[in-house]
Amino acid sequence: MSDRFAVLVVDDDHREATALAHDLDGLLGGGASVEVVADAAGARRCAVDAADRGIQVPVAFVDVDLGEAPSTTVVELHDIPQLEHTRNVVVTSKLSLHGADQALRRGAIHGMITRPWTRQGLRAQLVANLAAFLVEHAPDELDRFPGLLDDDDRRLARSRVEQQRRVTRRRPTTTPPLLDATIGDDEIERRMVELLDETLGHPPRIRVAPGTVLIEAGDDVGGIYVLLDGIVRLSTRTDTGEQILHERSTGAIIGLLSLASHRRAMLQCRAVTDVRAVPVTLDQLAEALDAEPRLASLVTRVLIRSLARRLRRSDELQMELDRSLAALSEARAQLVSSARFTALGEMAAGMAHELNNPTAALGRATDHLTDDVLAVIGDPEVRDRVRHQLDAAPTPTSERRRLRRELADVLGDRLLADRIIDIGYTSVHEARRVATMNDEEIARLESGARLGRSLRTVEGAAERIQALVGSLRAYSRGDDGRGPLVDRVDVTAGIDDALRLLSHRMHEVDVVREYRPVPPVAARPGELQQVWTNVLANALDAMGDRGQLTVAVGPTGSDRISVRIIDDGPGVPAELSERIFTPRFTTKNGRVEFGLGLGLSISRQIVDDHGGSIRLQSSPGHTEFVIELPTGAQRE
Amino acid sequence: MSELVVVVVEDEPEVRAAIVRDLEPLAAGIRIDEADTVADARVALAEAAEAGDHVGLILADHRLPGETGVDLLVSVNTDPECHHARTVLITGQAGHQDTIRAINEAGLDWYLAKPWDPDELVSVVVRQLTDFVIDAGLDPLRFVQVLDGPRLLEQYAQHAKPD
Repeated sequence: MSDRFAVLVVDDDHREATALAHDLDGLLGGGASVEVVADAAGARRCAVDAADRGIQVPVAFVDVDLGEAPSTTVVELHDIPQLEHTRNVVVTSKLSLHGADQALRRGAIHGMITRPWTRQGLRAQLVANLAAFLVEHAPDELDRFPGLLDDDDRRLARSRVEQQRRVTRRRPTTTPPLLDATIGDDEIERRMVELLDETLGHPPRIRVAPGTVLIEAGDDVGGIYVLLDGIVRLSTRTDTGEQILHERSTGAIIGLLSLASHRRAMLQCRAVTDVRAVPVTLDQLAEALDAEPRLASLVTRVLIRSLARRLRRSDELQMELDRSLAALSEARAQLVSSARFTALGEMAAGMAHELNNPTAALGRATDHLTDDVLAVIGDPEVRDRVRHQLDAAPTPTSERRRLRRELADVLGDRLLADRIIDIGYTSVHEARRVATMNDEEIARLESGARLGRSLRTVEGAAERIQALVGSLRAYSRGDDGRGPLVDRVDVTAGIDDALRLLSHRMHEVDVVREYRPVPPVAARPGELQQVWTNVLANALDAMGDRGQLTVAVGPTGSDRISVRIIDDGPGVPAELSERIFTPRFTTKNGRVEFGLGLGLSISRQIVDDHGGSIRLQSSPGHTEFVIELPTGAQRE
Repeated sequence: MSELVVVVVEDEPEVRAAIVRDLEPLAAGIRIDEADTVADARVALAEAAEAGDHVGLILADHRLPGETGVDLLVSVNTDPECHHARTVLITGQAGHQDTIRAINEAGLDWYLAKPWDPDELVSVVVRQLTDFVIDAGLDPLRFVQVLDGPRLLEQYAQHAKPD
């Protein structure tokens, strides 16, 4: 324990204070003791006690992450008389001096270290502040810290104290214009003209007409203009044309910045209105500056102000540029998306067209095939089996298994029972009859039944393809958003087409159709198909392809029809229900995954073009798109 | 006598009929049960278990009304009654996630894409059923005619050796 010096640690976190005290103790090597206190009050008690015992406190390490005003503790410490000369090092974990300004103004902070501190950083602060204190207040004790303070430290500390003593403080009698925030810019410029007039003996004023170029970009500038009246425009020429940087009016001093850049004018300066200005040559300016020191301060302020203005403008341009770039890449992505969408649509339409003929041929050929097959089969029972399978509804799988068990029990032969069911017989009576036939006869009946089933399959498949092709063809009716409206478009049939096209996604969807009779509308059918498909696909996306989908069509008002498409998906939050119609809105990263992100915006555009409206009402489990279209009655 | 059963789960009658017909070469020794939904497939499995038959293979479409084929295969895989049954998914529409789940959770044995090749279908079913017969310890000689004869005979020879 030293009897001369104590280093204070002010920190209410005991563990941390102890750690800091330990490190300091190690550095001090017994030259000073380390005292830990929790707050300013503790520091006061400690300081009074120390002073009584003749102990000085050269340095205090103060934790300032307490409370909201970081400087409070330090200022309180600084106000304790016994600690007046103590040098305060703040210990902080916030990398900010915000809130410390009061303490800084009072000269209460002499150093700062951040947590976690390094031994080296701590040592540097301790050495600098300890040395400074000792040189000033206890120069005889400098040898007390041999491991800590070497000759260089002492020399440095001494020279600093010397410097501080040498300076004689004087208060400035006036605030120079550079630092005087109360003077407006107009006032500064007015004073400048005054001083120039005084020193140069009222230099001549010039008047120029609008359009006159005062300074050309790239010129060697021989002086400045002080604008007395009127507006000038500063601009620069770029690849994309003339870029106006700013316009400046009465009071401005033009050409100052050029003086700082090798006297080359960076911008063109042109009069926008009638302009009255004082031209001042460089020589005149030099003369004036020499004769009137106050002018320098004014010129400096004007210079800084124009630099600041130009910097601000540059920042603005940079932000504009960033925004434009972002918008550009967004637009590009949209373009790519919509191009892909268009290409897909065209391809689908083309395919539908090409598929039409072969599909029609397939359908017709099946009919003919059926007639001819029946005609060439001689055996009436075989023919009957073909017909039976052509018309029979498929047996449910569970019924088939039951039937097989029953017949297998009666016949004692499971394989035979299977064959009889395939032939299309279900009664025990018929099964017994078949069982008496020879294998060849049974095989013929089986062939007949299969022929019938195959024909039915081909027929059914052809019908399905035909319906799909028909639905796809609705897209290829040649409308591109500019074509004339087609009269008498059947909205309900169009919706059915769209449902059919999406049927591959609706295995687990319960579709409820609530169709009331509606008059036909005048529309571009291909476009309307896009709307139905987009909105339905959107509903299916939201539902995860399972649940209940309701489509309600009916008249509304006297001259409109409404189509409501309702899904029981999770719903769209109210704040998104308008944005959902803007291009590229998707909630992909949230709960619901939507498609291209363009569908609904395209739909809105199409519906708008048709004089209709599309809107969304949504709550969890009930999301309803309402599309209204005017009927023909209202047009004309 | 208990039978070896393949359960075909497919909701479209035409497609189901086509699968069953393609499997006809096996009909002499194997029973083919059809089901049009996962629920019906469970009934068929229960019926087979009740009759003491061995379900050796479940061949399921993925897209089915209600539960999916993968749901069925996953539940079968954890069912002590028939977890030895081989599982084959035959589908045109299973997504990436469904397929991953089928492999990881249903221990899927094979994946067939629609439209299928009939020869491939038969050879897959034969291979899987042969595996089943060997694993389940059924009498190999009964299936030499319809399944993989040489493998079954080899199996028989190994087990018929006097100790």
